[in-house]
Parts: sequence; C-alpha cells; structure tokens
Amino acid sequence: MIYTAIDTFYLTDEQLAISPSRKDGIDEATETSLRIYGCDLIQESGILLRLPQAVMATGQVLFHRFYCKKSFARFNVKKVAASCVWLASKLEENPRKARQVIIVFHRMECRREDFPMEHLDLYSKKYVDLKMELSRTERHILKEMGFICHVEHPHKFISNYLATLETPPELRQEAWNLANDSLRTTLCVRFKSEVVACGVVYAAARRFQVPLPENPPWWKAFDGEKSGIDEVCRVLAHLYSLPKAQYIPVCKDGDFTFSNKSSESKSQSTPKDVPQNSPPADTDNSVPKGTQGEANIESNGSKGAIVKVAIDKLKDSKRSDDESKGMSTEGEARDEPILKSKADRKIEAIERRADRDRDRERYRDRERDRDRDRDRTKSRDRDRGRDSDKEREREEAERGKLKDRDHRSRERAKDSGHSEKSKRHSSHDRDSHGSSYSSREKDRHRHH
Amino acid sequence: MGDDSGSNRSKPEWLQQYDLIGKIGEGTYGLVFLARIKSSTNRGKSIAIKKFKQSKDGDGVSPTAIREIMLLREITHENVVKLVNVHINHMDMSLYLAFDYAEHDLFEIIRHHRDKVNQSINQYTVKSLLWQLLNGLNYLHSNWIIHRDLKPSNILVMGEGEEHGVVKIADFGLARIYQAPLKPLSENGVVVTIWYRAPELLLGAKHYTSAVDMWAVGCIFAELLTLKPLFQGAEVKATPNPFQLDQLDKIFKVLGHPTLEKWPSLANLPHWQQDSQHIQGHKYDNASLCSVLQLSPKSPAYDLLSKMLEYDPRKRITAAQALEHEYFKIEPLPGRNALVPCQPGDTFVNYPTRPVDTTTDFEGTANMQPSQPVSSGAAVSGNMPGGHVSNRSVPRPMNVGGMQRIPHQAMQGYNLSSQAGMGAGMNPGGIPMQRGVPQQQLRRKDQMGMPGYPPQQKSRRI
Repeated sequence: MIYTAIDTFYLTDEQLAISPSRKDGIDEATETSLRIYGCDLIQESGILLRLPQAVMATGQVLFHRFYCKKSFARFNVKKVAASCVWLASKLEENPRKARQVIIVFHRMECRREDFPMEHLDLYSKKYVDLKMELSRTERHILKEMGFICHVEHPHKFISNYLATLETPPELRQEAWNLANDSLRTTLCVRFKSEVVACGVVYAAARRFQVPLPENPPWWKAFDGEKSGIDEVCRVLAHLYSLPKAQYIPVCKDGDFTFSNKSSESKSQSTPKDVPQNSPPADTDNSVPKGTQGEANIESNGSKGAIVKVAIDKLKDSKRSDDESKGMSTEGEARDEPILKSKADRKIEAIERRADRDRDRERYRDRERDRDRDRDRTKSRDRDRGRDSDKEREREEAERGKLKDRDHRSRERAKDSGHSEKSKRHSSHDRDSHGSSYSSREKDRHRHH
Repeated sequence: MGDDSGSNRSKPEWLQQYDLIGKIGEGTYGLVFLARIKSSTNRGKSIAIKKFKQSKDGDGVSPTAIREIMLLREITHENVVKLVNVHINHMDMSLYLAFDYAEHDLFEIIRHHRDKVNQSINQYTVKSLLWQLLNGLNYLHSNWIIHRDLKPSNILVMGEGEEHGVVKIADFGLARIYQAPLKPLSENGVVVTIWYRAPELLLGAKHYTSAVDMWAVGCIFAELLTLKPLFQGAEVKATPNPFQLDQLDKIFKVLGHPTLEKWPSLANLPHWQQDSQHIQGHKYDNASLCSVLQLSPKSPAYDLLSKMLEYDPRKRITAAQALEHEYFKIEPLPGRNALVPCQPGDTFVNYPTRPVDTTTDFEGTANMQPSQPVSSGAAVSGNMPGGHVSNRSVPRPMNVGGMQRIPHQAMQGYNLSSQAGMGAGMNPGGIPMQRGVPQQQLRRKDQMGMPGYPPQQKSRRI
C-alpha cells in the first residue's frame, strides 16, 4: 500500500444536497452549471498561462472544495476560479504573477460574455482593485481550507491500474481524458481518488469493450467499490448530456466583471492618437525566453492588439518587439511583425472586429463538442507557432510527467509515421480529441 | 499604558489577544516577535509570532508560507515545533504564524559553552539533544517529509516549564513531501545551509533523499561535541549551480577523498563527472575524523557519527537506525529534559534566554525612544522578564566572537510548552472559522507515540 498524504475533504450526498448555495436559493442545476463553468475557466486559463495540467487539476479540486463551504451567491465564480488557478500554481510550484492571471481572465471574460475587447490598463484603478480582489479571495480560500490544500488526483493511479490489469494501450488515453473531465464534477469531493480512478478505468474498458476480471472483482484490488464505480459512470454520462455551461450572475452583491463594460467608446477613440513610427529593429535573438512568454500572455489577454503594440512601443521598444513577435504566432493575416500604415492598421482592425463578430455567432451556435474541437485546434495552432525547441521539449516533458512517462504512448506516436516532434504532438492531440468525442457519443447514446 | 505613539492606528482584532513583548529575530521572510497570551485560560503563556511579509510584487500569500503551514497543520510530534495559530492581517495582507515559544536553540547553547562556560557540553545533554532530534526527524521521514534546512539555529530547546529541555525541530520553509513529487526535488534549487549541506547536493545530484537531513544531523552532532562547525566552508553565492569548491574542500580534508569503490553512484554526479575545478586531483593527506573530534575510533559516538557522515547516501545511517545505535544504550542514557542532567556529578548549566529587542514595533521599525517599552498600539506587560534576559538588551548580533555566522540564515520559529486547553484551530483575522461540515481531522500517524526513556524503539520503514 502506497502511503499517501492526509486526504480528508469528503462529503456525503446529503451534505452536498444542502450546500451553502442551496441555502441561498440557488437550485441544483444552476450550481452544477456554475461549477462546470468555473472549471472551464480554470482549465482554459491554465492553458493560456502555459501551466502543466496538474495545476489545473489541483485548481479545480480546490474550487469544488471551496464551494462546499461557501455559496456562489456570496463569492463570484469568476473571482474564485481566478484565485484557485493562481493558488494552485503556487502549490504545484509553477507560480504565476497576479498580473498574468488577471490579464488572462479579463480576456476570457470579454470573449465568453460578448464584451467589447478592451485594453486593460495596468495602472488603472480597475486593475489595482482586481489585484486586491484576487489576493483577498485567495486568503478566503486558504482560510476555508484551513491551509490544508493537499490534493491527490485519480490520474496518479490510472497507469498503475491499467498496467496491473494488462489492458490494451488505447485505454490509457481514454481513462486519462475521463479523469480530466471528472474534475468538472463534484466526484473529487465525494469519492477518494482511487475510486474515481476505478470508475474511469471501468468506463474506458466499456468504451473499448475490453473485458475485465469479475471473479474475483478487479476493483477490490484497488480499494474500489462497485457502487462508487457506477456512480462515477453515471455522473460522467450526465456531464456529457449537459449543454455548454454559461455564466449565470447569482451574486447578492451585484455582478462582477474583470472588464469595464462602458469603455467601448474609449477603445474606439484611441487609435486616432497613435503616432506613426518606423518598424523596430529585429531583436528576436536577444529576447529572453521569460519575457517572450509574458509578452505572449499579455497579447493574448488584450483587445485592440494593434493599439496595445503602438502604445507599448512608446514606453518600451524592446517590449514592443516582444508583443509583435507574440502576435505573429497567432495572427493568420501576418507572417512577420511588420508595422503597416495607419490606414492599413485601421482596415485590419475593422476586419478583425468583423471576424470576432462571426466567431461569436459560431461560438454561440456550436455544441460542446465542436467548442472543444476548436479549442484543440487553437491549441495546435499555438503549438505550431512556437519556434523554440526548448519550449517543445518542456511541453513534452510535462506531458510525460502527467502520464507517469507513458512509454507505450510514445511508441504508438512513433508508429503512426510522424517523425517530427511537432507533428507527433499534433498527432497526440488528434488522438485525444477523437477518443473523447467517441466516448461522449457513445455515452450520450447509452444515456438515452 | 505609557505613551501611545500609535494611537491613530487601530490594532488588528486578532492581535488583541496577545501582549507584545518585543522582537526576537528576523530573516528573509520577515520578523519574529515574542508575545504572551492574555486570556485567563493560558495567561502568560509565551508565543513566538513569525510574520510573513507580502512580497513587493503583491503576489498574495507567499508559497513558502503556504507550504510551511500546510505541513505543520498535519504533523504532531513532541520533538517538532507546534503551530498554535495562523492570523491573516487584512490591512497589509501579512500572514502571521503563532508558535509555542522556545527559550533556547542549539546555536545559542553551543555559543554559550564556547564563549562563556568555556567547557564542553556534558555527555548527557549531548546525547539527549541528539536522541530527541533523531526522534523528531524519524517522525518526519516516516511521513515522507524532508526538512532540508537542519542546522543548530533551527533546533530549538524549551525553557523552564512543563516541557523543560525538550527539543523542537523548527523552520519548515524548505521542507517537502517527497513520497511522489511532481518534479524532482533538485528543481527547488539550492537547499540546506552550506556548512550542513551533504556532498551529493554539492556535487549536483538530480535526485536526493532524506539522507541529506542525516548528513546535517552528523554535522550538528560533531558541533555539539567540539563546539565549532565541522565543515566551515565559504559559500559562493553568485553562481547558480550547486557546486561549492570550498565546502567540498573542507569535507575532503576531514573525511578524505570519496572513491567510486565506496560510493558507486559518485560517477553519475554532474560535478564529479565534469571534474569541476579538478576536485578529483586534489590531494588530502592525513585526513582523519577522529583527530578532529578527539574521539577514540572505537567509541560508539565515533561509530555513530561516522555512519551519519557516510559519503554514499544509500549507506548513510537513517534516523530509525540511529535511534537503535549502541551509543544511546550506554550510560548516561538520554532523557526528556536534555538540559538538566540526571547524574549527580554533572555540572548544571543555567543557559541564558534569548535577547528581546523592545525598541522595534510590530511593523518592524525602531522608534526614537530606545529605553521606552514598545507602546505602538500594543499593550506591554508591566512585568518585563528582566531577571531572565541576558546582559544585552539588543537582538543577537550577526558576528559573534571569532566565528563568522552564516549570512541570510532564516530565523527559526519558536516554541513553548503547549497545554491541553490550547487549541490548534485556525483563527485568521479574528473571525471564528465556520466549519459547517464536521470533518474527521486525521493526523498523520505518529508511530512514535509518546517517547519513552530510555529508548526502546522498533525500526519501521523510512
């Protein structure tokens, strides 16, 4: 028996049924939707902050634990999600700055809630208030946890269980995906991670029609219970039956936003004041890696990127170069950071706004699956845009750690015929998407 | 109340339960204050309040503080410092850890013997201090915790009271759970204060174990015997890599060159492999641990120490094994009160208590009236412990006698005897914690239980 850290934060179904949110008049469906929404924010922000998956996993568990003690009516879901991913980055020894977290959440909010994309002024009162809120919510989370924030994840057990059961290699990725999805639910505060691990192993085996020993029952060897396994499968099936979670304002103190809703006119008037400048010298080789990373994050989080670049150039030409470089990895319209004439920039701004409008329409109409697909596509594009080999190696190393250095998976990737590292990465993502999609399709069918 | 220079500043609610006495230490994290509890149930009980100042970046609660609190909240052992309470100051977002106060630490005890008593520490005290240190460390290692900063100033000893002479391991800012770390421990950077740093760390080991703590204990054991640090190397701070030539030089001069025969994994260590600064070629004649210690090679003390200072971490003695060593089974047997010898012939040493700086207010600034007690919004007890304070009324100077103290040492937390009535509950911001859901608060298993003296412990898995 592997000795594990103290793991005591579990609730009964009765306790969950009378959660603090329920006492504040929030019905079960709304609380469930907000839990999923908060976890979506944690997951997406973690990707944008380039955090390893373990940080998002820990952040989601802390998020669920917090709302077992506090109500969604008194603590805004966006604030808590931001503080949870920030706190988790510290706990898992990948700390991020408050500034980075705020910029990312600001950008996600504008995109998800259809706010006009705006520049977040780091010296405004709004930003200072956001930073204070982030720290204050962090302290609330720590206080409610009693400063005991150890989290154990089912991922840790999946590889061992599958190896012991001698199952085909494709089950590993499927079980891993299911474990990631289970973090959107309250399974982590209802069952020990060994039970959740058994549940996702069972679901993956069912998906691939792989028989597992039942006499004696295989789960007995892993501290599992059949009732727990069945509940894990039922909860996951229910999760896949739900529409994409949306933000629902339920706070008693009024709604909270990372952005200033009334700043649209301000952002539109800013381009007129931008002076024209010659293109900056190419200093890519001298840019420190850390700075580049930050620049990318900042450009991701800001609206009116052209305006931001121009403004920053006035303050810090070096930083402006970083911004340009960051943008070039994402913008399809431009291959290199060349500044164009004022008229061209305005045209591009208009075109970009139009694109955003179309994206919003498509965004609303799409089902959950397609949204997930698009997220993965974006992720692949971002990955392909990276020039640094070190970045790629680091990403691969992190993936390896998350999966307990799954050698068979890498072998399968090689067998697929891709010889380049980046393509192997892409291939891997495609596999993830395919299996997740299939799993959801089958679960939906079974559910009906 | 005296003059109140801080009359305009409101005292935080949580602070009103304490009478502040004064500053007793400081480090990279912040300040340490001595305080006494006002409440009738624990009146006069001494508490050390360790303040974690917020980083200048304003990045919320520091990860070091979170980590220390998380660990201390889960462990309970007589030989480990006790975290009594955690307070969060909403005004400046500072974090305050309240510990049971301990009057002494090994650094002060050794210094007192070297500079004042001018005589070795008696055998009973050395053995009792060492046994209790190993007892606490065995508990930590049994629960997969590596301390990673063991040194004399982090080994506290309780003053007069219920727990007189009991050892407390303190300062868990660098401690880690290593049962299944997500990242290699070496990614945490340089750990352990340099004089107590194990050779595998100095040679850049990517993986290390709780054996690094046992090397530090060996250095502390030798220092208790000789009253001076065993390997007193100078640290080069500028370089980011863990290699320290002078420290390795000091070690090799005493223990001789490590050999592949005795330390097979030596070949895998980066800085041995690269032969950084040609360490493999240096010659060390007349290396002799027993001459430095002036111990007979046949004595149990020498045997135990040489096993602690084994080069190969896999062969180095563990805390559990050390507790079973012959050294602890011969007279004099170790006792719970390490400071008061049981043998009638031994000399009783009255150790001075730690100096208290009463001129520094709680925010860390010295006021303009050094002779006045601190009155910046904090009530000061009229009964100052003048009879117990040493001659100096200023905090411990950084330079002592002829010995250069290691700079940037983190100040340790302090401890005092706990009472049954003192809860370990969290009370941040003075707001009572609402635990709507009753939880079974399991403590990490305490396989030692209450230590019995003399020791008859059985070895368990590490």
